[in-house]
This record gives sequence, structure tokens and C-alpha cells, in this order.
Amino acid sequence: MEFLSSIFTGQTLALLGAALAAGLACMGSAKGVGLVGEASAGLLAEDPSKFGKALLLQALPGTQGIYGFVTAFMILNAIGILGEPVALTQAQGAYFLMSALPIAIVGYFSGVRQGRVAASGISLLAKRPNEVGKAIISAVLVETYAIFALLASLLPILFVKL
Amino acid sequence: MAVSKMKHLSVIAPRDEADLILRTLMWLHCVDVTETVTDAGGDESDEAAALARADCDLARAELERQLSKIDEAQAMLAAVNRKKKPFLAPKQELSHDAFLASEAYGQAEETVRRAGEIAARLASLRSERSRRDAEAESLAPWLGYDLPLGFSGTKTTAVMLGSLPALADGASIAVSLEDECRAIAERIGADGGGIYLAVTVHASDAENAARLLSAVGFVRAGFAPDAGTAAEEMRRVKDAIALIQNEEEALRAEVARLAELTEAVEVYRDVTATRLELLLARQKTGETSSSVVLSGYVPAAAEKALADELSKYTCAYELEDVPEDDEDAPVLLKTNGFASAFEPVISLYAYPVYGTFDPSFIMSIFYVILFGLMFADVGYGLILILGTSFALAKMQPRGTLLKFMKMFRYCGIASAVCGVLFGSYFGDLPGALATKFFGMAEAPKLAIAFDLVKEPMSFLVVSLAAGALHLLCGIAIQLYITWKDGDPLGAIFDQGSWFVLFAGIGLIFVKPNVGYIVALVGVAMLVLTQGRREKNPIMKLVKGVGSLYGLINYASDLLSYSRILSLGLASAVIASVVNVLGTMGGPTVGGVIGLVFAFVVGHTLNFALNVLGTFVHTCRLQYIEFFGKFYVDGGRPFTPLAPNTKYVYFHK
Repeated sequence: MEFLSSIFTGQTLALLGAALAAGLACMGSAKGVGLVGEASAGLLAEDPSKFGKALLLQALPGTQGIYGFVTAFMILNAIGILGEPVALTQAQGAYFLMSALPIAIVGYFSGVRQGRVAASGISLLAKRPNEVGKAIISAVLVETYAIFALLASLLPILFVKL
Repeated sequence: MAVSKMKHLSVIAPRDEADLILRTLMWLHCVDVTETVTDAGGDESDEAAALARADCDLARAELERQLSKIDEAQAMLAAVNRKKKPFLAPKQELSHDAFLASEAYGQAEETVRRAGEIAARLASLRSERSRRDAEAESLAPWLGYDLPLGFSGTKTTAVMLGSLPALADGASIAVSLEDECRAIAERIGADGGGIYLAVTVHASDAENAARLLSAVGFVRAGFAPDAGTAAEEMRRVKDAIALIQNEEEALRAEVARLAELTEAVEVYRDVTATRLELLLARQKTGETSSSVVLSGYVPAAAEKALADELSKYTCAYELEDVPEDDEDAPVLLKTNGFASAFEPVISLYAYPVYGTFDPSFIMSIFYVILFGLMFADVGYGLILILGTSFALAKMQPRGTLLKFMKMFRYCGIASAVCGVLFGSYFGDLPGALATKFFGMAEAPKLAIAFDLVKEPMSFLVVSLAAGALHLLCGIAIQLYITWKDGDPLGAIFDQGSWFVLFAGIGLIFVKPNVGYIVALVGVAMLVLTQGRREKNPIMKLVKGVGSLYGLINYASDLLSYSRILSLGLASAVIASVVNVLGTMGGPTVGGVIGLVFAFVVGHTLNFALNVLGTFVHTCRLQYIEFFGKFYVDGGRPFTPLAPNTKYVYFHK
């Protein structure tokens, strides 16, 4: 127990939260963006002129990684890593860890799902290039839940009373 | 502010002037040729001569074939030229008439034909060579055998040549051959492919021996009955290979000589491609036995120049206004100097439908602002400016590449300005140099507004403020469009209410009481007016209240702009890591070398990664958050009839 207490101090617990927020959300985005990239390679082999629209669809699942990064950054800012380190109790550190969880978990799963929607959008783009707007809207709808998760993560961090 | 006005052009001319007129139109770069309608109605009177599609299929196939031959020849000559041609070779300039004069290209045509022949001959020589090489390889193990390879036995004996698998037990096989078939197996050699045997057996036992051998995996060598000894055959093959090599060298020398005519072939390629363009335009015209009908679209601004040119020919032409809802009309975006550079951003996405709003100018302004904020750094901005200026001056790009270069130059200026505002000069390089190299106590404060990395919350506010401005602009444009379409009340109810609501929300932070009242007015406007198209009063209310959900959409749009913070921060943080690594060595000789090395490698990488990310995300913000408010996509870009040139430039 001594060993665990010495590793999991307030600062490190908060850092763990930041790590999860950035790590899992970026993993989700990476997987999502990669999925669309694979699908678009097949499309571009047939019709390279659709690259712009394919690139746009590929960029869509990237949002979750950005949100995860923003959350991680807010945590680092709040606990003073980027300036004067703030002394945190274990409970306070755990506070940051908990608040990072929504964007971490939702960022991962919604990033992958948004990637799948966007990848199907690539097949829409192949058959009906003029309707790509509809594919984009379908993909962006998934992002709504990442936004909610971001807010659920950010609000406790922004209004923390240390 | 709609897209450029188009006029529909119809020209009727005698058939023999058709090509001349098409050429004139091509040099004007202002006519988008469309298919002339040729279906005559079932009840056409006999007076209207039937209009037929011009038949150019044969000529077109011929030109396309020639073009692909030229491409192959160019590829071949380019392989030779790679060592010689400087990167920024002087461009070829020609006058219009000299370009299209058909007599000038005999030599180039001959070069292309000969290059094609050489390519075919080299290919067949290559396959011949690999055949010979395989032959030599199959002969190599038999060099120790002095009987002719085709010798398969006398009247009473049979000789079998072949190989066993490499791991077979040659000794025991030889013994069993001797015992059961009275055969002698002579081991000629062995290599990775197997153990090579010459088996001599009495003719009466030949079948038994063959059966035994095939059971252990013996494979007969397939030499022809008239083959000589291995040594003789090998010499024959080597001679053949030498002949092939000589011919290949001679052909390559000829290619090197042909490569001197590369420039002529380039011009020939441009002429052929341009002739193909003219032919494709000709194919879209309709013709009768004596005249030709051409249809197309011309920007209203080019009307006078066109009229001047066409009046020199014996033809009748008409320019009529295009109705706003013409679906076939091409779209030419506003071409003032600044906004035209950003056309690639729109062409990557989709062109607006003819007659709708042309967002180029507003989008360009926001594009540079957002790009500048995301990429804020004086050093990287200067690299962009210098790189693009150099490319523009030296490479003289055309078309889309030219626009991209100009666009990135503007973005570079914006990045530099934002870099000055936020104190970012290759990240925190001045600070790192000051503390590590010059021993100053703390880094100088260079930021005019505030330091990006030290005050990220302020930067987040700036990003969201820019985003809010962008979104409000988008809604304002939709308001303008709805108003101009003759529905001012709709504009006020649909977009105006939101403005009131946002103003209220904004005022809550400044003057809470006033803010709440204004916001409530906005909410009331929305609830009362958003259901106005419904008949059922309950549905009206439901739709009205439901429209407040739009607030969530606007909030999510706004939050999307936090990527400006992330991207700006990402590039600043990586830059400062590079600086830390570079200044680790301190003010020593080794330290300076390390600094230069880290500087070049690290900052180049950071620059390359971030310029791509910034470009994509700024585009995404335009397409989804901004265009989503008012854009109607599905338009066709204006593609005028123009010469198809990759190498030639024209002087007047």
C-alpha cells in the first residue's frame, strides 16, 4: 500500500487522467481516420479527382483527438505542470482523473464509429459524388456525443476549486 | 454577390471556317463549349435542315493514339535526360501561329516514331536475353559431362540425363539401380537445384530403371536430340548473349542521340494535346451540309472582346442572358486578385450552383485569419512567404498550382503577423537562445498580445471568438440570401431571431438584466415563428420549441473552433521541444553545430507536418461550419476552351 500511495500522489493521478483523455481519444481518432484512409485509397485508385472530398471525409473523425488533447491540456494547466506546480491531495488528483473519463471513453468509441460512418461515406462518394454533403452530415452527427462528453469533462476541470 | 453572370453563346458559321473560329475562341480563353442540341423534334418541317453531331471519332482516336505514343517516347527520353536537365530550365515561348503551324513538327514526329520502335525492340531483346540466361543456367551443372547432351543411347543401351532432389540419398539410389536394373549412375555434379546424374542402362532394363528413378523423384533433363556437348552449347549461348548486348548498347546510344530533341517532342506533345482539345470542342458542335452551329457559355465581362473577334469572320452569333435557374450554366467565381487565389479551396469541395451566392471573398478573409491563428509563427510564416515567392518567380506555375502558391503566400503573411502578435519566432527560439547561449536570466517577452503557450486559455477565447465571428457571418449571409430572394420576413424570423438570441446571451456577461431580456425575446421569436409553416397549432408550438435544439448545433459548431487552440499549441510545443534539444549543447562549438542540425531537421519536420494539418483543418472549418449555413453545392466549374500545354508559354 505504501508503494501504491507513493506512486499515486495527487499530481500523478491527475496526470493519469490527462494521459487517458489524450491517449484514448487520440487512439479513437487515429483508428477512425485510418479506416477512412484505407477506404479512400480504393476510391482514389479508380478516380483520383475525388481526392479533395475524400480528404475532407478522412479529416472528420479527427475531432475526438483534438478534444482529448484540449482536455488533457486543461488538466495540465489546472494542476500547474505548465507553470508553478500546485500541491494536490490524492482526492483532488482523483477528481481530475474522474473528470477526464467521459472524453477518454467516448472519444475512443465515437472516434472509431465516426470513422466507420465516414468510410461508408467514401462508398457514397464513389457512386454519387454530388451527394457527399449528406455523407458528411451523417458523420458529423456522431460528433455530437463527443461534444457532450467534452463538456462533461471540461466543466469540472474549468470550475475546479483547489 | 452572386457568381459571375454568364451569357449563352450561339454561333452559326460556314463549315470551312469552323476550325478557324474555334482556334480564335481558344486563344480568347473565354468560351465554355457545350453540346449543341441536335435532336430535331418529330414534327420538324422540311425547311429546317437536320442538325447532326459533328463526326470526329476517327480523328479523335488517331490523336489520342498519337498522344499516348508521345507520352511513352517522353518517358523513354526522360530516363536518359535525368542526368542532364537542370531543374529550372528556361521555358519555351512561342507565338500563337508558330505553335499551331503543322509543318514544324516533322522531326518531332519522326523522333516519337523511332522511340516507339526502339522501345519495342528493347523489350523483345530483354525477353530473348532472359531466355538465354535460363538456358545458360540449365547448362551450367552439365559442364563436367563430356558426351553430347542429346545422346540418348546406342542400339542396346539407353542414357538418361536428369536430376534428383537435392536431399535425395544418391548413393543408395545408385546401389539399388545397379542391383535391380544393372544400371550405372554417374554423378555429374550437385548444386542447390539437385543432384545431377547420367544413368546408363541396357535397353531392355530401361523401363524398369525409368520407373525406379521417377519413384525417387528423378526429373529428366529436356535436351534436344541434336544438342552438342555442354561446353559447345554453353559457348553458343554465350555468343548469342553477346550479340544481344551489342544490339542493346547500339539502341541505347541511339536513344541518347534522340534525347537531344526532347524540347521539340515537348512542344509536339503540347500541339497534339491542343489539337485534341479543338477536336473535342468540334465534336460538340452540330452541323448541316454547309454550316456549323456552336453553343457555349461566356462570362458577361468577356462579351465585348468576343464580339470584336467574331465580327472578323463571316458568321452569325448571338449572346443571350442566362436565366437564374439554368442548371447547365457553368460557375465562374469572382476573380479579384486576392480572392481568386483561394479558388482551389472551393474546387476541392464543390462549386456553388449558378445564380447563388459567391462566398469567395468572405471565405478568403476568414481563411487567412484562421490559418494565421492556427499556424502562428513568424519563422514558419517567413518560410512560406519566401518559398512560394521563389516558386512563383522561378517555376512560373500555371492554373491551380499558381493559385495554391499565391494562397499559401497570403497564409504565410497571416501566420507571420499572428506570430508577431503571440511572440512565436520558430517557437520559443529567441528565449531558448537567450537563456542557454547568452546566459540571460529569463527569456525576453516578445509577444505583443500574449504568449500562446503561457496563456492558452486566452488563446482559446481568441479562437472561439474568431469562430463565433465566422459562424455569425455565415448566418448573416443566409439572412442576406433569404432577404434578396424576396422573403424579408423569413429572413428576420429564421436568421434574425438567432441574432437576437445570441446578442442576448452575449449581453448576459456584460449587463445581466438587459441580457436576459434580450435573450428571452430571441427565444420567444424562435418559438413563435419556427412553426409558422405548420397548420396544426400544436405542431406549430412543438416545432417552435424544437427549433431551440438548434442552440446545441451552434454550440457544437463553436466548440469545433477549439481545434485552432490545439493546432496552434501543438506546433508551438513541438517547436519548443526542438529548441530545447538544439540548445542543449550550450554556447560551445559542438553546441552550435547541434543547434544548426536540430534547427534544420526539427523545424523542417514541424513545419511540414503542421502546414498540412493546418490546411486540412482550416478547409474543414470552412466547409462544415461556414458553408453549412448557406451554401448550395452542385455547380459545374467554368472550363473555357484553351490550349492544353504543359511546356509551352505564349507571347502575344
